[in-house]
Amino acid sequence: MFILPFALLTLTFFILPAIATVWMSFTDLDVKMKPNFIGLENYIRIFQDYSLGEILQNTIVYAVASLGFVLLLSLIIAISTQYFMKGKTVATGYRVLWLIPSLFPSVVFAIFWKYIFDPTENGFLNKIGMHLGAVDEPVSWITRYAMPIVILGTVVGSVSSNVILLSSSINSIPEDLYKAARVDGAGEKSIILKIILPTLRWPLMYITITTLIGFVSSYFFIMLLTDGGPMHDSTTLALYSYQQAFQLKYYGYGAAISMFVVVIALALTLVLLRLFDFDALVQPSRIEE
Amino acid sequence: MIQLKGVVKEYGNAKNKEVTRAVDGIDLEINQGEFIALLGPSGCGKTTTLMMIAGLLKATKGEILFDGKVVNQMEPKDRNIGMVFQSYALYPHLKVIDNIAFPLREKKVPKAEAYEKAKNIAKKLQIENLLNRKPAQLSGGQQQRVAMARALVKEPQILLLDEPMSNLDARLKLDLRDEIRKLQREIGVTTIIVTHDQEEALAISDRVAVLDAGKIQQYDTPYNLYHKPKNLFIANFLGTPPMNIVEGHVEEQDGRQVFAAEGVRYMLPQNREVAKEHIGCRVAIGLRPNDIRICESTENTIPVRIELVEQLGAEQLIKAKPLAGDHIIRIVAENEMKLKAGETVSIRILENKFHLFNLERNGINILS
Ligand SMILES: Nc1ncnc2c1ncn2[C@@H]1O[C@H](COP(=O)(O)OP(=O)(O)OP(=O)(O)O)[C@@H](O)[C@H]1O
Ligand SMILES: [Mg+2]
Repeated sequence: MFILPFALLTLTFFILPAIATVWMSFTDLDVKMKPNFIGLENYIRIFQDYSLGEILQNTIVYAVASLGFVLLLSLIIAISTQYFMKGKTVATGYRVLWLIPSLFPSVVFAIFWKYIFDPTENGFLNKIGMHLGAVDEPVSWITRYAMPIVILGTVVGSVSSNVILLSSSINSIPEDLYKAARVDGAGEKSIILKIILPTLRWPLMYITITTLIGFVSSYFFIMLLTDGGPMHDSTTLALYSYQQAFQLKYYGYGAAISMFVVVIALALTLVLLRLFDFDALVQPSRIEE
Repeated sequence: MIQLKGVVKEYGNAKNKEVTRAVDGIDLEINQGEFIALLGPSGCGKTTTLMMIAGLLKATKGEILFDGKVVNQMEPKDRNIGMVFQSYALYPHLKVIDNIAFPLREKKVPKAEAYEKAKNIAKKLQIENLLNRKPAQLSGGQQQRVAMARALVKEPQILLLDEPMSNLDARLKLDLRDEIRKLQREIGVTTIIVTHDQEEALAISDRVAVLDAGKIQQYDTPYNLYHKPKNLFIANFLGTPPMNIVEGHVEEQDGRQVFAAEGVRYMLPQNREVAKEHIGCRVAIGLRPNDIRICESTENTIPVRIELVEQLGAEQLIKAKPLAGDHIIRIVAENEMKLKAGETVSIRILENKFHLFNLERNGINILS
């Protein structure tokens, strides 16, 4: 009885849109709003799309590189502030500093990057570069390094929440464990590899799955920063789906591409769960004799 | 041999510049192969002292010597110590066997040899059947054994135990206690145990250092601590049921010395009189409940009224008040004596079993 309102909510906001998208992906719905059922045609079209190869490659590069940097950076920051500088005010302050990018709306954040990499001589990087004599004339950074800049922006924006998650896990390691390790002759390397990292296994799994899916399926930030350009240089699958649906008004085709994204995300999740040996987490920890 | 010379540890508080002196000038000598206990109430600095011996904390002042060599600056891993923590501190992600082999692997002992040694020590501690489990799959007692095995596997020169048995139930504690003692004798490792359980400390150790407020109050054999307490703190701290302490003074009467307090007059035996300087001072008499006898009213006995009779099992605990006083005196009596609350009886103090402490001189024992 009491579940009913929630069930209805779930139905209207999660299940219906999903069904609608699936349905749309089998139609030729466009700006005329007169959908006709066309079967698998949209899906066939995806694989015939001459940009697919490049976009798929972009998506992989973007998602994997961003994830890699996010994980590495989050780990380094979390371990150094929560283990090496434990309890120091500087450490906390440093973590708060990383929080700033995620506090601003991505629009503001995108403008910030645009200013940094602005192609005119007024752009921050160009100004500095020319002042120091490193470059002679303004460089069109975004045109030239579209993908690296998109990745940089994404990484900087998503590190802080992961740092918070990892730090709290590291913080839960009892002090005695470090002491025991020091008595047992363990160096910092052993402590990190054998005590800290194993503790971070599940948080890392969570971060990997959520950020990877997030990167595969989000487009907003890229759209603001480069809009996928120049050409398709920084277009990912999700952004492409958005462009097809909302800029070119091929709703049906856009829906089909987003379905494709969903399938990829699901597949990734399953592979990653297997990789992290998720079964071990849900198994009971105590063996009774 | 381990020596502590005037060791002080202060914990600073960066925020308000306040300094807590957790350990306040400790001198201690522990002989090769000896088993000693650090005993004291909570917060007296036991763990802090142990951590300094382990090298996990640096002493603020003073010297720590191993075999005559100052080790203040030596890293824990170079001190050749094994340690068991109250929380056991097993590495949760390693199997039992890997936990035990860990110290050897960190010392770059070859894999085969390390695991061979780990298995041997596991056998000694009867945990061979648990080697493939994770710590979370063990009971408290089993974890304790694993922690012990991990501490001993590198054949340390010194074994440090920080309340190793405080998380175990009473029965298991007794068994493990005997086992630890036996094992220690067998391998002859110098051992320091931290505990706040006096029975454990007295039962297991060669010598016990009783700490209070960061200072050693007495460092002696269990026998001497119990029978020859240096001061009122030790007398009060050790023994259950606790010693009776009655405040009064010693006065002279017809050439004899008499301890006098409210409702109590006790003529001291001539061989146990106090020095002149203590006469008239505030003095407390210390009487263990076991060293008082209930008897007929004769010379030099004290009349009391029984307030309460408690059954202890093997004997009974009597709580009585002197007829003319208001302090409770606890007496242990045989079960055969039929005693009832409200009854008036007399008590006799065993002549060579009482203690006198001068309260004007920090409660020092003036009879030993
Ligand atoms: N890291 C610290 N910072 C500040 N004060 C501390 C710190 N560790 C301990 N203390 C203080 O030092 C004193 C001694 O602490 P210690 O842990 O040595 O006591 P202990 O005898 O082991 O007590 P327990 O039986 O409760 O374990 C206590 O007053 C405690 O509050
Ligand atoms: Mg302690």
